[in-house]
Amino acid sequence: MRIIELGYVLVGAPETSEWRRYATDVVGAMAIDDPSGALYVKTDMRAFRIAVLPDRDAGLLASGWLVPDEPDFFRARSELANDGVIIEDGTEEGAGLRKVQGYFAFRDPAGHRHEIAWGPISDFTPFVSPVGVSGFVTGDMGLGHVVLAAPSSMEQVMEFWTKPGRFGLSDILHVPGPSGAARINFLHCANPRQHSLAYAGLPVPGGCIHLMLEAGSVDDVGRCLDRVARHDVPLLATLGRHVNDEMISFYMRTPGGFALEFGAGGKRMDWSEHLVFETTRGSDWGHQWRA
Amino acid sequence: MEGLKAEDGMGAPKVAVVSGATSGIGLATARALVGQRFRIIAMGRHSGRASAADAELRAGAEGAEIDWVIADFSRLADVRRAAGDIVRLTGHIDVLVNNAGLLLDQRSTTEQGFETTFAVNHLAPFLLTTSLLPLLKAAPAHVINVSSVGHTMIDDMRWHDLQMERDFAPLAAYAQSKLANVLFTRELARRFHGEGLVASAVHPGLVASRFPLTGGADTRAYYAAAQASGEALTSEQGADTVVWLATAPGAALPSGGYFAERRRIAPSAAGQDDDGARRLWTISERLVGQA
Repeated sequence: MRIIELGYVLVGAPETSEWRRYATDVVGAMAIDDPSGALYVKTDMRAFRIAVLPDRDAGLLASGWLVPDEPDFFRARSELANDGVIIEDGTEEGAGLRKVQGYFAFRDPAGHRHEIAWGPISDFTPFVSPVGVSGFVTGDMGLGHVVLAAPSSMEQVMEFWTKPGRFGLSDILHVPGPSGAARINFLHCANPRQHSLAYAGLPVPGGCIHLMLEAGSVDDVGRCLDRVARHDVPLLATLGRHVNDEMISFYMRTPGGFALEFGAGGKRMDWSEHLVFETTRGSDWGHQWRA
Repeated sequence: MEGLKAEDGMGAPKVAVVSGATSGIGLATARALVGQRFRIIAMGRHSGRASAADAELRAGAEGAEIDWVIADFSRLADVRRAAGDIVRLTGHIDVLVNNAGLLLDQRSTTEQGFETTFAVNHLAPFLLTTSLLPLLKAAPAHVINVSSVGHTMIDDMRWHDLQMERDFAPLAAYAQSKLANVLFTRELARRFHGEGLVASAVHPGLVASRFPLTGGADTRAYYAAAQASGEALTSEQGADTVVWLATAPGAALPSGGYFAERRRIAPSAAGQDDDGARRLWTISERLVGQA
């Protein structure tokens, strides 16, 4: 298996209209209605990066990981099946919705749904932000990153994901938890983004802690902060700079309940020279969390 | 609704039963519902604390209708007697908020030999609710169970050792009791949705109340750190989703949902297990002697 990038995420929403306003007016992404009832949030040349699907519950439904091609896709499927992972094969309708050639789904040991897909389908319509965001950093870095909760199964999650070809450990952060220090493990796949996936040993409502989108410049981050204030979106953590990916960012509440980290200036990694490190402080400055 | 009287359509005020109403989320819930002109049947363990809370609830709320029922939830006989007291006070209940709960720092057992966390956080509200079913069906009522994201800290109920006689850990016992709240909500919804009864579970957030004081050192430190950094919620903030559900029952449909920050979100995989929900109900009936 060779995971190239976080290609898409699926989000459930009782009211997709709430996401439409949020995605366009606050995030500055494009929102496109699909006849199926899905709302596509577009941040680059791809058809979408976030698909908001009508659902009874609000929250992240699945993280979609892209592999290079069809042979890799089937290798990934048989590798996971051989490991005893229960595979839910994709359908033609599902592939149409995800705009990929093929996909299958499974749950990680913490119960989060993931999908492996190949061959994203796009008409390459350029991204034009409705509020003037200069662009989002995707390309060979994927859409951003997702941080999930693993309050009772961190060891199993790490064993599962750090098998060869899946993810590599980037760094470790310790934060206070209800039973002492909790660990956050940051993981990278086969691209230069410092982490595309992370797991925190903390209980978090809905299970998704945050999704990160990287904008083109720090001015985009500042302007988004202005829009957050203007639209009364709850700010969850103030502007700050992370020590691991060196991103300058802030965190806000999404209509999915989870947070969105909106940042810029993320480090591009050369993994051949990487040394895994542990830190007891996640941010060089800022990122004050609020109630 | 501010300033309007919550009525049942026949001119009588709506009746809310709130357990654990002497402090924290319960007191904040009772205060908000008094403000919405609910008649309150408040439950507490200590008559002294109940008197203080009663005075607080009546201050600035002229004509407030508040009755107190004193019960120690670690004694099921007390819970049964309290249910009888409530039946004598009202012919119907519109909202039942099962809020009373605790966290311990070591294993202890009740007079009947139940692990105290399981007895107080699950068996007591189970017995109270099932004892009040005729009144709950009369309205029909909305039963709101104050659970917690802590339910995700355990993979499943310890079905073969619910009293945690082996490998007791305070947080695991708490997590199991909060998972029990989610499963109880699910089964309550399944059994009685046809009669109009609505059941919801709520994660109130990390609230700076008396709650962590009986927990272990790590938990107390975690709450203290959250309070110092401003991340902990006030009791009023913690009560927000409970009060929202109590006053807008339509938001809770279809019945059986799990809510945080006024959003319906997915509980853990174990919290979505319908077979587990049925199993827990059957076991609980037997344990409280109602089978």
